[in-house]
Amino acid sequence: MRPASTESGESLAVRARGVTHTYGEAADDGPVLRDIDLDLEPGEIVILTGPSGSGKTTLLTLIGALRRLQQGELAVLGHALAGLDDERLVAVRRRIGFIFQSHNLFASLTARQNVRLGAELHRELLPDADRLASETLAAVGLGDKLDSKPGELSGGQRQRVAVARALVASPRLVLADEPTAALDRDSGRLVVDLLQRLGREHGTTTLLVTHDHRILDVADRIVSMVDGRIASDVRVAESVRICEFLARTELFRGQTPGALAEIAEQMQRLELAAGETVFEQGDAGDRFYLVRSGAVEVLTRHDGRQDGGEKVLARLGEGDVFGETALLTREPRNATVRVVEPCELLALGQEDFRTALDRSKTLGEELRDILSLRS
Amino acid sequence: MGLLPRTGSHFGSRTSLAWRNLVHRRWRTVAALAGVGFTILLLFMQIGFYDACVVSATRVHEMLEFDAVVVSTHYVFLLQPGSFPDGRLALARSAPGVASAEPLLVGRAPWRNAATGNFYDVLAIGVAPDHDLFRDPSRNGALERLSSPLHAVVDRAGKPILGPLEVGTRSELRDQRLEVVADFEHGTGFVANGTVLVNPATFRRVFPEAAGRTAHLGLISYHHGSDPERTLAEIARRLPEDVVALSRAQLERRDRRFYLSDRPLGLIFTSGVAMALGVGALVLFQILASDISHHLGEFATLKAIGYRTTALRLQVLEQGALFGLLGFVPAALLAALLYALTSRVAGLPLAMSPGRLLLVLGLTLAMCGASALLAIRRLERADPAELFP
Repeated sequence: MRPASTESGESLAVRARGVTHTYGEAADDGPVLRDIDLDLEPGEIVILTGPSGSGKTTLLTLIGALRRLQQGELAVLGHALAGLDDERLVAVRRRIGFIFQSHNLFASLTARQNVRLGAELHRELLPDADRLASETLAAVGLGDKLDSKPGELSGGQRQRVAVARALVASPRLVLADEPTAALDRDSGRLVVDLLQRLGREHGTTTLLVTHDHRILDVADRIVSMVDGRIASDVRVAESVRICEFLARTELFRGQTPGALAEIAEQMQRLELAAGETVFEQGDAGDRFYLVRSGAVEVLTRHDGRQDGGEKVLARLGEGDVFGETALLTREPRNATVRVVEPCELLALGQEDFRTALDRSKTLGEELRDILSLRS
Repeated sequence: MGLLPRTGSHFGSRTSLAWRNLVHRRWRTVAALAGVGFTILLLFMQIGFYDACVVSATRVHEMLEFDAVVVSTHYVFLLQPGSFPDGRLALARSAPGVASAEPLLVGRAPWRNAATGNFYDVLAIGVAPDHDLFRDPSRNGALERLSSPLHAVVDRAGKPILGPLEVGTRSELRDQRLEVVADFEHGTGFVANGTVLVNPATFRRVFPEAAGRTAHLGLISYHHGSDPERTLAEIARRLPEDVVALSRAQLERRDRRFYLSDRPLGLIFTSGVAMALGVGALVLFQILASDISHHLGEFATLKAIGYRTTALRLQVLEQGALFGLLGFVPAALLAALLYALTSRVAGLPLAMSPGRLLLVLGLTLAMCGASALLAIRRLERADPAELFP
């Protein structure tokens, strides 16, 4: 088994490349998963969304080593799953915490004994299994229900016992299916706080399928699936930051968060070194830019001078935008933009920029107003 | 998950799911244990009866002193021995190594219950008063009292239906009036309700067909130190074709074979054991299979989180074994009680023995194991991939 790693060498919790899966009986309908590429970083909380039948459950079962990989590459916690025998698949599963919609607790066991089952799999945890089970139950707010049997607990409490069973061995990866659906706001918050704490303290990665909007704020990324494909993969914090930048600009002020998020999602990341030119005066306008970090200068050639002397019109930094004029007027660039500090730019293509404009007449009107003011 | 029940705190040990599941649904478990226990009780009784049959077949032989016998070639079993001229015993006596060869008369005759007047069959033995008939020498003195044709020596271990058997009791063997002048205690088994010893003359009056110098069995004793096989061969060599010489073991084997094979008793009890095992296995299979079906989601979850299917299989085997062990204890106690009762009422040599306990325990565990192995197949239905709907 070989470890999965990013290009920088950092280990990934999950690395999927070209994963495609077809169910026997559904072969006529085509694959339920199509060419999935997905990386999950240690400590990340990733929410998987999508309509019913979009393939998210199948992806979850493949990552959980509960189904055999048919096509593509899939590495989980450093182990390539393709071709692993049953024994090794079991070994991988032991390092994963599973939270199912159905709690599936043994009615004959107390809460603590049910949770112990998750710890007893690990020989090294056996001496402390009782203590770990008690502590984990306390962490999900069931410290006073250690010796209660499932029949004596409410549905929400039973679900929390199941969550504790999944987390008692501090797994490196947690796969959860609607873990908070049966929980009230406070209990749900306890559970996601625990997942976050595991992420911080143990680098536990959490991939959860949920439609519970109350917990979306904990997600580092939201991956949306449609028809067996990943339709979008949004880094939430980054997306929020970009939306904040866009909303601060005169161009996009007043846009709905949804519209801004969509624009942010379509932007392409570019990394440029100092001295590099983003575009030259006279070039055709094909992109709109947002400076994510670093700095650029906007330059223009002096009128009438043949020596190529340039005048700095502006220095742009984090959160500033440029390049929209050429896109709106369909005229060549009226200035050159050059990088003065290593920077990260987010670029929106001409088509996407115009689509965003067309989506909202209000936006188009505002832009025209802005341009008229500039002129 | 472990094999035995754990204490409440169970620090450092694994949770016994099998035990917890068993004690959780108490009444269901009690009902299941009643079924399993009843099966085990049936095993005890069937095997007990079978063994009693084996013991009974040679119960009378055990009390008699002999190394070999001469019997008619028509010998079937003790109560259907055929007869032969007692002169054949003189031939046997002439063989080197033979110390004595004494005739014995045996037959079944009705004995009158002195209290009720009803007649019940007993084993009647005609024996000379000077014949050291018994293996237990202390009993032989009583035989001297048989010099009178009106005297009888009886086995006190006869069934209660025979009425009073104390010394001094006056009764009748068929139409011969007799007085009990001595007794001993041994038991007759399946052969008859009791044993009555009389002298040969009295015997012949009871059994006119045994008149003349005939014998039913010739009891042969060897000199101390003689070679049994060679002596038996020498006896056989001297005997004509109407009789055969059998060693003690050969005679016992023939009588056992008569009860267990020629008569269907052995088949009845053996098939009873097989049926009890079959029914028990079926009952236990139903219990275990329904338990697995009831916990399919939980088992699938355990598979998902990393329990090997083997561990879950062991858990089912453990549960089966627990059912067997828990059902075994009360069944063994009840069987011991029924043995005592049956032994007293029916006079059958039924008693609990360590060997039988081990045999039934072994059969029980085998039955439970077979049931569990059948039920285990349902575990395959527990698919962890189905847990994400």
